Amino acid sequence: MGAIGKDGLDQFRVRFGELARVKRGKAVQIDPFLIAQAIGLVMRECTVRSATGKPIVWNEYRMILARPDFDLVRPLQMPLERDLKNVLAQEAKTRAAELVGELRVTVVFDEADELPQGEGVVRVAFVPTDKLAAPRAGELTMRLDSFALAGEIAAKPTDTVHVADSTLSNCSLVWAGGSAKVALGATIVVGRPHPDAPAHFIGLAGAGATVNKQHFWILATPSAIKIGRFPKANPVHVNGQPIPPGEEREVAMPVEISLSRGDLIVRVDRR
Amino acid sequence: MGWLSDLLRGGSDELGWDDLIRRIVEAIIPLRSYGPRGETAFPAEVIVRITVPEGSSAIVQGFIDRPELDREVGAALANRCDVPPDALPSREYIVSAADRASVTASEGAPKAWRLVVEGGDRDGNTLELPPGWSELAFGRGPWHGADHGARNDLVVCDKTEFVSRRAGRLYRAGHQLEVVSLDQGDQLAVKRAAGEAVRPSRTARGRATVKPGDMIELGDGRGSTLRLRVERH
Repeated sequence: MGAIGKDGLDQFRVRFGELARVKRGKAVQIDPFLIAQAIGLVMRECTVRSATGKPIVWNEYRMILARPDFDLVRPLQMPLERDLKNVLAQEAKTRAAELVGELRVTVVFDEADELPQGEGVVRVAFVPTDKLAAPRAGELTMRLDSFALAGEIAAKPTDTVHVADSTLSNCSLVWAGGSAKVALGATIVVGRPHPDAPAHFIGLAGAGATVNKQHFWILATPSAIKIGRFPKANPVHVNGQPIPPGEEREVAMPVEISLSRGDLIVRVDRR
Repeated sequence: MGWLSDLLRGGSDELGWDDLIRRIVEAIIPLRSYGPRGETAFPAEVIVRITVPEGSSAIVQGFIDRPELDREVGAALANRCDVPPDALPSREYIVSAADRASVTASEGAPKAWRLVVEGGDRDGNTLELPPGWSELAFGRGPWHGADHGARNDLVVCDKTEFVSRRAGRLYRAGHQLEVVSLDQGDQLAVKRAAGEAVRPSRTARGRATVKPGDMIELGDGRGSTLRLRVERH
């Protein structure tokens, strides 16, 4: 029997005894190296390819261990999860594989206590995550090493402060609850205000529950404007035309964007 | 040679896992009837009564409490009768102590399941689970998915935002339920009366067993919760 078995499309069974090549019936000591080996082998099981034929690998991995096995690695959990990310990133690079988002690796124990000791389950998924827009000409990203006061912005050492050239801002977003300027050349996420909003985000104050926290993104260029609907977002209509989930449209200003079939109307116009 | 196989299995009063499945299947099969074109039909619900000697009842109850048993019964029944799984009856198991082991099945209407909502904007609502159901989706609002193309069978709230539209799915497994967390992720837990909590997303099967008296808790990770109290009546 192999060390890795397929339980389903998104789940694999790991037999650590086989992986560590211990004699049948002997207990196996689970350590971070074995876990990394197991997850690396699972990553190789991904046969998904992009339209161009390039391999795409899962970016979310959850290793579920039997409770007694987990207790052995519990003190090492933090460095383990960090190291696993590095190992998987290296593995993806070796395979020249694409990732749809940042790597997420978690190691947990089976709360139902159904897993026998020496076995594990790896559950995998594709979880797209938004990437920060790359800085453009005229924009600078500063990382601060100590508390500082810059103009009217107090920043903590861990904060990343995006300093944009506001003179380049040429259009604004207007809706019933307010308005916001849209900087040129930056991809900005627009949605209902929420605490964990991403960088480059416009919160539509006053938006109801039918407006998603990340409903659409907007990218202003000197001549036009690009609008994209997030894959899980409620309907978005641009100038009366629907945008299918995950797709984008490029239109000239002024633009009327209807969210959730008219629940909120957002207009984009030149200043 | 029935006496010999009984003897090899430890006697007719011993019910092992495989024996139990075989005897349940054999008890249910006589309840089938045939339609006008010869197709097999079962009653929508059957009650399987299992009697075992006092000393074995805890073991057999343990078997019955495992959702895999009902799944294996379903698979064996579908194979034996050559019917699709969705044409099989819902099965309810009752274990009691008696002098001898026996397994009988009869057509019947088992107790109905319901969920009582505690918290959120539908606080106090009671959601009756329809008879004969095998799988139900639940979450916020009646629709979910891109362009609201998929329907929730059970709407647990309308505007309680920390509850996902596609929060989870309930499965019937014999005399108990199983729950799977979908978009609710780690923020869906089954809280037992004894205080134990099991998150389906952190189990090897991806499912957690739910019994009457348990709570299905949907949270936001910061203390706000909506609870579904599971009852049978």
